[in-house]
Amino acid sequence: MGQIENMKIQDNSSGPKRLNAALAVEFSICVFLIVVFCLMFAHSYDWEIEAGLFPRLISGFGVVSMLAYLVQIAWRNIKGKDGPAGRILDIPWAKVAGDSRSVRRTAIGVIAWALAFWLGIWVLGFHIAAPIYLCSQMVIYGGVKKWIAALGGAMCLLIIILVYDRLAETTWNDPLLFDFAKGLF
Amino acid sequence: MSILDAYAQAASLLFQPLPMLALLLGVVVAMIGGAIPGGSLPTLIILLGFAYHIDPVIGIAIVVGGAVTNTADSVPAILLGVPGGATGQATILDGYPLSRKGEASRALAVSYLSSLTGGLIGAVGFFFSIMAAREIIRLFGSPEFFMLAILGITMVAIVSSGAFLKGLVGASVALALTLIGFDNITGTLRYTFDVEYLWDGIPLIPVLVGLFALPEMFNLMLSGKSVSEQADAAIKRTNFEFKYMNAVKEVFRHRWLVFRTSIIGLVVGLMPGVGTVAAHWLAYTHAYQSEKGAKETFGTGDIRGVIAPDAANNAIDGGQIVPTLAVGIPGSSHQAILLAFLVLMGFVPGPEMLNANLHITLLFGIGIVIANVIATGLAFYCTPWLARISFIRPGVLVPCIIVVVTLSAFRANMSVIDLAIMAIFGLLGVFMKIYGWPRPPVIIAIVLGQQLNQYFWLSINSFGWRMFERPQMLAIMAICFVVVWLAIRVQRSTSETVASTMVEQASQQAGKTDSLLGQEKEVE
Repeated sequence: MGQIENMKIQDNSSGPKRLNAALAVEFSICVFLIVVFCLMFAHSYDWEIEAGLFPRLISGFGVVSMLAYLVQIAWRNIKGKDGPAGRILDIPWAKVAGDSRSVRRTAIGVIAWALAFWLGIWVLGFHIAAPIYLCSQMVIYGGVKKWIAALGGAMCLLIIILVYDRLAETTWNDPLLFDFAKGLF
Repeated sequence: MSILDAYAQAASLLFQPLPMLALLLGVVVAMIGGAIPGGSLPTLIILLGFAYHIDPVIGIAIVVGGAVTNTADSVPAILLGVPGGATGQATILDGYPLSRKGEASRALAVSYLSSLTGGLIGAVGFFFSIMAAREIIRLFGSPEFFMLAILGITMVAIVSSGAFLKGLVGASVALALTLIGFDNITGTLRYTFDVEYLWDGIPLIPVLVGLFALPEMFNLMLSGKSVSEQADAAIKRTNFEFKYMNAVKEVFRHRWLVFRTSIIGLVVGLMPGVGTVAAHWLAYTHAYQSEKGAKETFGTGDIRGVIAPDAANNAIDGGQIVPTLAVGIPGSSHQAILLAFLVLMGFVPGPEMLNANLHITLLFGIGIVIANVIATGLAFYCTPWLARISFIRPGVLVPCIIVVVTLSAFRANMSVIDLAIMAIFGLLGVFMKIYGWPRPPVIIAIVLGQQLNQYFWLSINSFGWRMFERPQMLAIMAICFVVVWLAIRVQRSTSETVASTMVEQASQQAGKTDSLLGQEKEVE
């Protein structure tokens, strides 16, 4: 399957173990989704027929396609066959160069920073979180000088104020920290 | 509405200062996005985020301008040997060797002009196809549209290059997600679990940003270091002096190749779900097999190897937009996003787009023509800057794009919960991209879910299960089976021909190297 190829790109040292782990994850997700579809199917009987018929069709279709996919991965695993890896309508995963440890570290770092950024928006708001995120990323992953990164952060704030505040009249969320501070004082 | 009235209305809507400015803005942003490897889809999503809340005509102008990323796609392909998007791989085969020979300017100029010609031929094809589609669509009722939507999702899943069960699974999960929220027909709240946020269903823009934009940026961040190093070397060896008349002469000399490959692009585009990549490769292999002496020179820097895929690349837009607007079956990820935009703006793909909203449909066609012309003009003057965009390190570029797409996702509903939805779908998108799960069926299912529900309800109420006995319905099913069969055959034969072409080219180049080595030994 496609994942085998990708795993080989990322880590050659422990292929079979990683493959089994990936299959186990895929299998668990399939089973979980089958349970969800079954619950959806059962829940659809709570509504009148006009509202419940379409969900019944969709969840039934979901169960059938999930079961077919489970059979396919089991069959391929038994036969040791690889499925087609190409995706003609989609952009394939570009090969990642470098040793697997540094790639993994970068991947975890990028995801963690992005999650922190979105959490920061909730807690501090866009006007603080976005410039800080941009500035720190430019220093850590972009390798630019700190004053250039600071300039980038300032530009980001300026764009938020001029384009999104003034021009697009965006209604921002109330940052959690400010709400908390208002409660204190 | 007569077709001439619709043309007049579309032209009067578009040829105003603000829509034209919006179109120009869309093209400029698309050129910048197209020059970034993997940047064309996130760019379109960023534009969609902006276009969502404004006047529909201005919004459409921005998005149509933004969809013309194909012209700039050839910049990273020719200069760096890296595809700009899903397409561009075939251009690399001859474009990159030309660039290494110091003929990048020639390759780029010819690429731009053949893209323009292909785009214009595609637009002419679009205008004729719309007229034909208008007549056919009159025969359809709600059961046929229900069947078309079902078959559309299935077709896109089936032609997802063999991963059709993955496509079907993805589509079924996505359809289940569209069930969440207030059912407009019966007034029932479905699967909301008393969470008020879910009453309106899962919002589309955060899902699009998560599924399409974030995985591209994640991939660019991990794989992009070498690209910026290559860009540095490419800029140093290229002089960027375009000889316009020479390029015009070269395209004119190969006019029949341009015409043939544009027609290939147009026809493949009209077949729903076959995809841009197939057209690109089909045009390249057609040129390889039909052009004189191509078997000796292709793969070593033959300009015809750049002309063929690039002409098809832009012609396909005119073809693909017909099934997207007429029946809601997009042929690529870009078209899926365009379809999502239309639905967000309140337009329903189907008969309305060919009757009451025909002027909007034609607005797309006229917009494509103008956007292609603007893009070619801009490409000639801005290539050195576009090349420098590829030079920007991913560590600088990616955070900037993440901030902008986050703002786009937030602006859709001005809700911070949307960011959580975006993050969840972002992780899902990364998983799907790495493990080979096709994303277009998911997005098509999300976009068409509500309409599918509506058509199903109308069909059941009007015809019951006898809807399956209608001759139009049977005809649609037969046509869809034929199209799926054709699509699979086209894709299989394309991949087989591509593989044999690559092998032939590799063996020829190895033969040349051997003979050169033999000559060197004889000299010694």
